[in-house]
Amino acid sequence: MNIQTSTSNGQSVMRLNGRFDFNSHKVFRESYQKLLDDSSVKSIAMDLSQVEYLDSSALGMLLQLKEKADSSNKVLKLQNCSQLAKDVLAIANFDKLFEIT
Amino acid sequence: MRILAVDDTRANLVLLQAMLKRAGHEVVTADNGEHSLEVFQQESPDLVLMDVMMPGMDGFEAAQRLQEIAAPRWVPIIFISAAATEEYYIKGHQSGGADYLFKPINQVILNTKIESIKRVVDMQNTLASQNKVLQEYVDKDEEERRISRHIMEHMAESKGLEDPMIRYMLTPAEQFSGDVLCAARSPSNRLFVLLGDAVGHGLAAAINTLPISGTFYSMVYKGFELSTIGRELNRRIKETMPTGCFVACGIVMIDPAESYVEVWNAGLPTFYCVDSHGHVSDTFESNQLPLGVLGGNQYEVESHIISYQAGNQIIMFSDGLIEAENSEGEFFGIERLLSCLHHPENRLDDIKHSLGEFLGDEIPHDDVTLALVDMPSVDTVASEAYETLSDDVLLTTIEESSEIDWKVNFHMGVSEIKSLDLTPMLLGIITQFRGLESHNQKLFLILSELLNNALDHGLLELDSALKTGPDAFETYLNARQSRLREIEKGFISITACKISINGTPFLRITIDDSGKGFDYQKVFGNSAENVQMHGRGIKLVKQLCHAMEYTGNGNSVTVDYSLEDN
Repeated sequence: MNIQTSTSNGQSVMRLNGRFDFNSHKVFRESYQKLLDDSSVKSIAMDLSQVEYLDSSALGMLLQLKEKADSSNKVLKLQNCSQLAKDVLAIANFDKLFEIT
Repeated sequence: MRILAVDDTRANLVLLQAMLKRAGHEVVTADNGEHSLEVFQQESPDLVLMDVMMPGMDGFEAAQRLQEIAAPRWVPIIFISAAATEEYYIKGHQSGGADYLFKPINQVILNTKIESIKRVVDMQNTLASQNKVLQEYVDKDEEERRISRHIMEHMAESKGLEDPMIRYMLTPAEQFSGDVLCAARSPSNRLFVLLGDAVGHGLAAAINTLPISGTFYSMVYKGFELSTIGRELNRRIKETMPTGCFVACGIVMIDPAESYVEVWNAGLPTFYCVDSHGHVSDTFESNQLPLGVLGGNQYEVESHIISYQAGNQIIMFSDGLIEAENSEGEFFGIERLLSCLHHPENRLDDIKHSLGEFLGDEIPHDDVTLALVDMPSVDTVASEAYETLSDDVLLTTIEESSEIDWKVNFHMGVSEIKSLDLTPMLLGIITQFRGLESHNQKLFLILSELLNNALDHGLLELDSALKTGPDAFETYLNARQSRLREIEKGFISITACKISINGTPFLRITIDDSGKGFDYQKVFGNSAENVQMHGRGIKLVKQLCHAMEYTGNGNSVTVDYSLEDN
């Protein structure tokens, strides 16, 4: 998986591309850590339109990120979910935890 | 370097020794082939200089024997001979020699060859020591896996899965499974089947499942309700696992005696209930977050209840099954699964066969788990358990007894009644008295039946006529739930004491409730009617007890249970 990150006016977008599974652990962590460390970033939007596959490890990583984002007072949301991403998030009922659009 | 020089000619040996010492090496010598083997074993040199032409064992043979002795280590050997022929040169290398020197020996060439061999030896030593470290690591890892596997296998007991009402498959993607499947019967013979799927697979995921099986078995054996078990599972996972580690989990509870089925699905693919033709009659979508995401106080178990239909079957599985990929990157999927259900008796084999055919040579990348849970017309496990009940005549009056060993009383107000799973909680306390543990299952049946009667018909004033007719139990449970929510006052009081009557020990249980009571003389006047109205539950209590008496308005009942035989 590769990740493109862009930030404007304190709003960051992480665009995920490819298979989001345990093998993406390192690249995902490194990408979001930069945003968490940047105090000018107020919100992080995870763009899931280009995600081909999403497994339970990916959901675990999203949970980890959410915990960290909450503790550094940044808003986290999931946007442009592909149908596959929507299905996986729905089975896990993650709409009860995340703002999903 | 420590060098072994071998030559049968004394003068040559002395010369060689002098040259080697000049270059700073330590030298040991041997004067023939056989002798060289002895010296080699005693001195273990780094390099051997071997004369080829020797009486008895020649240099080539000695070299081969040395390599055999030293194996798996390779010993660098340089042959020395006067005959500078191509044939000797080749034979020298074939006999395991590293290099060849021709007489007369030139000191500079000798030094150069030894230097180059030293580099190889150093490299070999480095490799050998790294290899040793790696091998130790592999051995240690192997041993740890062996121990882990043993622990997992013994903690995740699988005896319950042999229940005649269950058929299942469990195929881990790696040595350890991140899926867990457990089954157990409660004291009242309800069958609970749990399927859990922890994040990821392999050892880390398997560790995540450990708190599940232990908690599940102990709570089912004690008779807790599905919702209490679910809440506790969530709490355990949340407490023990780091953020990001969660477990999708579902439980199917089949109660053949009360004729209903309860299903809970938190994060697993939709479960199906199918009839004997393979038609889907109910679906159970995941309607909750997986376990270990929300804290203990924020989690409420939301389950579905359906009525028990003989011949129906519930199908539960992990996403590894429907997401098993073939070589074209296609998923096995729900449609294929549902098309394997036409023959109830062959369903498991048909699914396995269809999956095998779909996958071809591909191996699923995630754990694949599936369980089929039956609703048979007769539950053989329960009927075996009740066959052993005695037909002794039930006494309908309670005798006075002055010999009391111990006595406890619990007074439960409505808020406790609403929030606690009363029977397992009270029984957990009572069975701690000496000699009661072995009566656990029978006492559970008695206590749960009496408590349910006190609550349902006493406090909640539910009419047991609600229990008859199609989908009756569902209606009944819904009515029960809403009345339980509404009720604001009332109590149930439970007294248990151990007494002796004519030398026989009894457990005496008295349950009073604040309800209106009922006309017990009228209800128990006609025995056929009372069996029908109160179902199997109260009939069982009567079979299990020595005496049973209603007093007051019918809102107080006392039973004597003999502790003498088991």
